Amino acid sequence: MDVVLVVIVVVVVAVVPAIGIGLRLRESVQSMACTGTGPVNRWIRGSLALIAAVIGWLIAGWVGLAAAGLGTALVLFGYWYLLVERKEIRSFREPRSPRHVKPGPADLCLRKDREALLSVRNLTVEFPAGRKDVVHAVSGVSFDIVKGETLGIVGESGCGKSTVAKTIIRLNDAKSGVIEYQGRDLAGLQSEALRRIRPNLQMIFQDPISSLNPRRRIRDVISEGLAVWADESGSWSEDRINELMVAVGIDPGIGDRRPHQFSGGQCQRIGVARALALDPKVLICDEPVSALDVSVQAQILNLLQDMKQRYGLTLMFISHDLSVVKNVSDRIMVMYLGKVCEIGNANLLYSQPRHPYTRALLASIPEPAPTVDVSESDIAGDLPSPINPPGGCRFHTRCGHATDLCSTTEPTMTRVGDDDHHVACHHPVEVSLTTA
Amino acid sequence: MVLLSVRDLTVRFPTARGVVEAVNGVTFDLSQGQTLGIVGESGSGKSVTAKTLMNLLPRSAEVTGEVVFAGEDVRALAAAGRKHFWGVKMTMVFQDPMTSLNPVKRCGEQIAETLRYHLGLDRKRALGEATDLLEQVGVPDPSKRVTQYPHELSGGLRQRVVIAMALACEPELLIADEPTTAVDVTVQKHLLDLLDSLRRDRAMSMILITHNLGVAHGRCDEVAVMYGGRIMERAPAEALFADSRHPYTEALMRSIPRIDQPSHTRLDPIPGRPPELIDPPVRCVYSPRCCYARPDCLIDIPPMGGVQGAHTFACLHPANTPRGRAALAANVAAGASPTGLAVSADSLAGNLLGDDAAEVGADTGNGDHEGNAVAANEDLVQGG
Repeated sequence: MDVVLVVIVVVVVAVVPAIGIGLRLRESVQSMACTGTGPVNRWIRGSLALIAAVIGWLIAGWVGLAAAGLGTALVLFGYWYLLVERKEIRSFREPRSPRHVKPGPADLCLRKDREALLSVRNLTVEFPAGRKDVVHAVSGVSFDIVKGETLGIVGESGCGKSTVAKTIIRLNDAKSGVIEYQGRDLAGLQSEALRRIRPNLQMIFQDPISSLNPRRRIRDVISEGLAVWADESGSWSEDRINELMVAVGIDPGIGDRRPHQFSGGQCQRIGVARALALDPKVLICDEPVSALDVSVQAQILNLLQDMKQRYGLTLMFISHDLSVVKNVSDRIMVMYLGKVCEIGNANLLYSQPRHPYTRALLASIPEPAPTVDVSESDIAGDLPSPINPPGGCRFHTRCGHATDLCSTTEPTMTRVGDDDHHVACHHPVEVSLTTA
Repeated sequence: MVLLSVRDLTVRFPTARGVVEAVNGVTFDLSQGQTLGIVGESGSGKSVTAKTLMNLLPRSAEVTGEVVFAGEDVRALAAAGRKHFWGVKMTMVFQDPMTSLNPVKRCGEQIAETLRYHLGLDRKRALGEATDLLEQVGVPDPSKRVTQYPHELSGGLRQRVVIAMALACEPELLIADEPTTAVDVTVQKHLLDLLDSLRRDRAMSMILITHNLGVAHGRCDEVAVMYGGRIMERAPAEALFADSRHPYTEALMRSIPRIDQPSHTRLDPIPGRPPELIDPPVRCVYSPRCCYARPDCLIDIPPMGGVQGAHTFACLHPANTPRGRAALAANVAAGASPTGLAVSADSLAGNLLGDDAAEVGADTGNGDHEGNAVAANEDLVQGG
């Protein structure tokens, strides 16, 4: 397909005008040679015409060849530029060129005991900012989620937690890294293969009202996924929609209303029903309760917990609220400026925080955490720019424990204590194990 | 000394669908140097109360009641007195620092504008004063920041600029309307610390409006809980959080996830939905969602009871009292509250009921659960 395209373009751009030039040159030489009269000149005229024709053909041939060469070079350059540099068109035949996977440390496997449903390795996401700069949104993030588990991700705004979520369901493209779901790399999937895997991974968004189409009835909103996949899984029935609506606590009798007739909490319930319609395996919740009032927040958190048990979901839960994340999660990952600081069991991470940033986050909760004394932790200054992040450990500019080592060498994830608690810090804070 | 005294404040907005009773009979006193926290969900009337104090409501709003600030009635101020009252003696910090700053003016000019208008300083002195103010609110490199535009600053710095503007004329009362909702937790802590220290240094009073119970707990002397346009409970912060009396306050505290609980702790959400404020029926506004509600709650709006000046609450069957426990036990026995809300011993954690009440609840089955989608959902999920 691509080769045919190239040949057609070369013919149109180069060969056709070259033939035209050659023909016109031959005609003009011929007509020039034909101006003389008389019998003596017949042989001369004839031979002149012949020579002119030969010269014309030769010149036309060279010009044509040169034009053809130039045209081909232009087409190939343009094709290369769009394909390789800008990534705007993709080859139809092969999948994208093999991805650059940085070799990670040997003990990168963070969970040895159980097989992960979703494992992310060295995920890097960058966005262009201006002409030359790039925003290093996510830099080398690795984690695993085992089946039936809830992984919470916390961090300040701009730390890359939402970008990780969006990259997993391929709303963004990763620059490098592997997103392995049931043994397949999602990061390399294209078009149809990607479409087929997407029902397995669904997402709930932060703003419940703006994530629903205001012009559609909520019954249609919930059933859209089923309608799209009806040809694969047989027909879908209204019963399925009613069952979903009852499950999330919306009366099926009001399914013909539109989103503006519902409150924020109800809209989030509809969002949950929509996400569950295709029977996903993984549900990604990006700040699902941040826009809700506290009394409604509890309803949605309980709903998510119930849906997780009822449909056997694996959850990824993103929030900036540390108490909310602790309530829903089995494991918690703390992110700072595109990097993972600490990952571990939810209760353990809050009772024995090892990374200075985790401790600073806990210290800034208005209601002090009585489980652990983090009063020494405070962070000064502002978040550095993700366009030009600090070298070494990204947190060293605001860290009270930072040494020269921190500004030069990037810490790797190392296991501390038991139960898959990992921390990326040169000087993890020692906690007395008796408090556990 | 009482600085601000609000008596029976009522705000009504006529709309196409009817009159919205946004604030209803709000009464409180604020002493000099004290911080009053106003806690509530969206639609509870806390921001409208603040805007009424600041005279920022649209003309269509119908306001009745009395607002007395340092001995003079604010709502009856003469035109000359009004001009240099708001923005000088009483100032406000808004939720979103990006929308409360002018994007096309430099930060320094915006602070200086206040000083020039109210205090009559010339341009140069006002700008110098603005630099000092920025330094006081902890903005690094203030002489550079005065020449920058709001979009060049981070969210935390922007909010500091807004605080500097509010403090420019040395106000006696600062109203902070959700000042930290738009920023991260680490920045939130710094901003609250700043407000605290500024308040102490200047012997200023503060009204801190928030939906975050943790913020109200740690930063306020007294806390008022609002619901449906009314103050439900008002008490010193420690007393309110240690020994809440109003069922709404209690339910609110039980519904938030707490950091000292282990993960996967089941939360107790408040059933039902926030109240409709157009033509509300004459009864306790919380009664449709209240598991303590008894028939007498539906007759009239409950008056403020409790110990005046210390711990007041608008409830006939306050929680953590024998009367409240008796009401709860009666509802458990009946299976539902008089408003049709299902109440069963299973759906309540045992500690709400006293021991005697739990026994009463134990031998009654679940009542009918009609008319409540949330309760129905709970049962469905438990069954499935």
